[in-house]
Amino acid sequence: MRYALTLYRWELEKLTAQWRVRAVFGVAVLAPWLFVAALRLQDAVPADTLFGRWVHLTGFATPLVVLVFTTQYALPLLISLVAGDIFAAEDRYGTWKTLLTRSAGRGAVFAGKALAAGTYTVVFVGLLACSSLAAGVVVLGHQPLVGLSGTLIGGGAATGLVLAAWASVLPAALGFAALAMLCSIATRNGPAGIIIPTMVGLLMQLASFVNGVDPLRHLLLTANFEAWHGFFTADRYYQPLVTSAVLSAMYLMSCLGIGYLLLHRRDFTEG
Amino acid sequence: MVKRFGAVRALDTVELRVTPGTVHGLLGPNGAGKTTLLRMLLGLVRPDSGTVRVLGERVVPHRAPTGVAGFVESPRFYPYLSAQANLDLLAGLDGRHASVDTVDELLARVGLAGRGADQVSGFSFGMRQRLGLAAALLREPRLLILDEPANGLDPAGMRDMRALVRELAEDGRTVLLSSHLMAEVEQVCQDVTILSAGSVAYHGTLDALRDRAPAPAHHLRTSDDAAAGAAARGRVGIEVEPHRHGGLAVRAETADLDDYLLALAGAGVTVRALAQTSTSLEQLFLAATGEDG
Amino acid sequence: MRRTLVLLLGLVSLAAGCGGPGITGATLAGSLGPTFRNMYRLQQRLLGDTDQSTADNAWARCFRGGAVKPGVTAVPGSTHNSGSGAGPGWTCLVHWPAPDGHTQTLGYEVSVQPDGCYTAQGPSGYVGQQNIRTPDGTTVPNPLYEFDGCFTT
Ligand SMILES: Nc1ncnc2c1ncn2[C@@H]1O[C@H](COP(=O)(O)OP(=O)(O)O)[C@@H](O)[C@H]1O
Ligand SMILES: [Mg+2]
Repeated sequence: MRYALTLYRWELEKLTAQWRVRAVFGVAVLAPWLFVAALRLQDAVPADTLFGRWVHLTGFATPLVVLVFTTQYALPLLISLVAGDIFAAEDRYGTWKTLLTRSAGRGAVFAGKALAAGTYTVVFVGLLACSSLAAGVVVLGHQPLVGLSGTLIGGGAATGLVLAAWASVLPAALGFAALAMLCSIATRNGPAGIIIPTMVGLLMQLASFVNGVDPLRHLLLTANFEAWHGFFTADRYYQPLVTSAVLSAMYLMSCLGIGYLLLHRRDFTEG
Repeated sequence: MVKRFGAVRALDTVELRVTPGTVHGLLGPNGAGKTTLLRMLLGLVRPDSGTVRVLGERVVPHRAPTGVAGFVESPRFYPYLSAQANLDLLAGLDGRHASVDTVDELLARVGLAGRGADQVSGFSFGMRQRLGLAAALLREPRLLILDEPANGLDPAGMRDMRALVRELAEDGRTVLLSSHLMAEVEQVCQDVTILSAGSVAYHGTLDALRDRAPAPAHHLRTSDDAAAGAAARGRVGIEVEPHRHGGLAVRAETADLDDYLLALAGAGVTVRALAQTSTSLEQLFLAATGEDG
Repeated sequence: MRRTLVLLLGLVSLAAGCGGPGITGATLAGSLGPTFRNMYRLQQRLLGDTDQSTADNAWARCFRGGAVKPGVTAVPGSTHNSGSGAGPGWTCLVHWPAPDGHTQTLGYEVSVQPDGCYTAQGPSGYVGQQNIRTPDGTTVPNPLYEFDGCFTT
């Protein structure tokens, strides 16, 4: 446990020492401001997106539009960028033997890395949530938000709901992080660890649009990305959040479990 | 224990008895299984069957055994971190704390004084080799494992490395040093194990090995090879046969060789050229590993 | 381990697949009617509450198919909620009884996502253009022209 925490601290240090991670965090902070600036400069609205037609009416629509965009197209990629590389990086640098010939066992190394990837995921989602909420409210105002039953949601409640909506996608975000880590361990290749979960995410998103696969739809990790819709109706409902969170936890545990077994059994005959 | 790679039986029941406080050489041609054996000792590779024990402890393929440190092939570090940060990290993985002073002292010891703050990405191959040694010493091991540590070092670096290895043994540490060159092992080791195709071909002191060694080989050119060959017949301590590149191949200790050369002069045969082709230990090494040809 | 996993997966799919009533004409109408009322109120507010009319008695009836022409007030065979499943091609008729006893009917074309969120597009001739102008001169989206809603499935 002590070793896992030491490793965790070092993994965070290693992550922040890499330009890739800094760049992703920079994008998370800056992109929402560019988005609202673009909205400010023209009249068109992203009406196809939930809450998209209200972007000019209230700043609280901004973080929700960003949430829809991000979860539909970008989140698995942005998570895998770090989580899909965190194990394969040791293969790239040939540092497994350096890391594993100390007193800390493979379990501690695995735990430290998994915790670091989880932390990155939560911090990234948190940064994007806060930055898009701040950008929306500062640039476009804090008028009440039009909910999904047509009722108006006042500033305070809207802030809470927006943050809750962002928090509600964390289970699937962490599930994708675990999937990326599994790919990273299994392929021992950074690009594969990034591309495979990204493709899986897009395919799941595609499958969730298709009708007629209804029971299957609930087994997709991406189901969790829509669970927050129920927060914004007059009669709130949480059933989708509960089922998708349980499902995400199962994805998370199976990916981590298989990943740990693979790492535990690996012979380091190269590098 | 046994380790296979597909059909290749890389290692088969190897036992090493290493005297504490000495430098033990692990010799073998490329592909003999030296690195694989050292990986097993460090817990990086698990045997296909059987168990590995070192310092009385069974090696579990989860972590390095207590008291054992070292590196196999070339040591690797995080290029984007400084040498100090790399060592700090590794100390943390041993449950220690590496203060700046400790690290500075260590770096000075391996010839990297003042380079602690530099990123490892700017280090040459030889510097990384030195840093690898520092990283291993950080663990204060009782058994230090070095896999071909002289690889990539310049002559001065090799000399420093040898001096350091001797010094470490004098401090009471045990060093297991692998090499494919007898000459390198001869300079620092008291005991050797010769590995050939995955099993032990010789295990013992270098002195005992020397006793068993055939006489050094020489290449001799004379004015009359036939007469020279005839002159050798019946003499003890000398073996003469035609050399494959012409002239004669002569195996003899120095004293016997001197007698023989005097005898040749007496018989009217002049010596045109005499060169030692291999020392006795190299002879033995080649013979033991079946690379004699 | 594997058995528990299969069991858990089964539970999740059961809970998710068979828990709710699903997407039907009735569930859609149950959500769209109240949402329309709220959107009407919002439109009034945006326009500055100039007339005192309300849509507080409006209710909806939804069925699959039966493409409505904009402004059609009654469609034969649409007297019951019917149909099920996600997809475009839903029609919801919003009935809007006025105080004088006369009932106005608006036909909305509705597309329902598998997760129970839908987009309803109204007949522009009756509900107004896509954008409306508030008393202070800003242009805002017309809530009745097109609106989103969600219901639990
Ligand atoms: N990763 C590997 N895959 C397949 N064969 C390997 C691998 N590593 C080593 N070997 C084989 O095992 C044998 C021993 O290799 P090694 O221990 O590296 O030898 P040495 O270090 O003595 O040169 C060689 O025949 C080599 O080809
Ligand atoms: Mg080797």
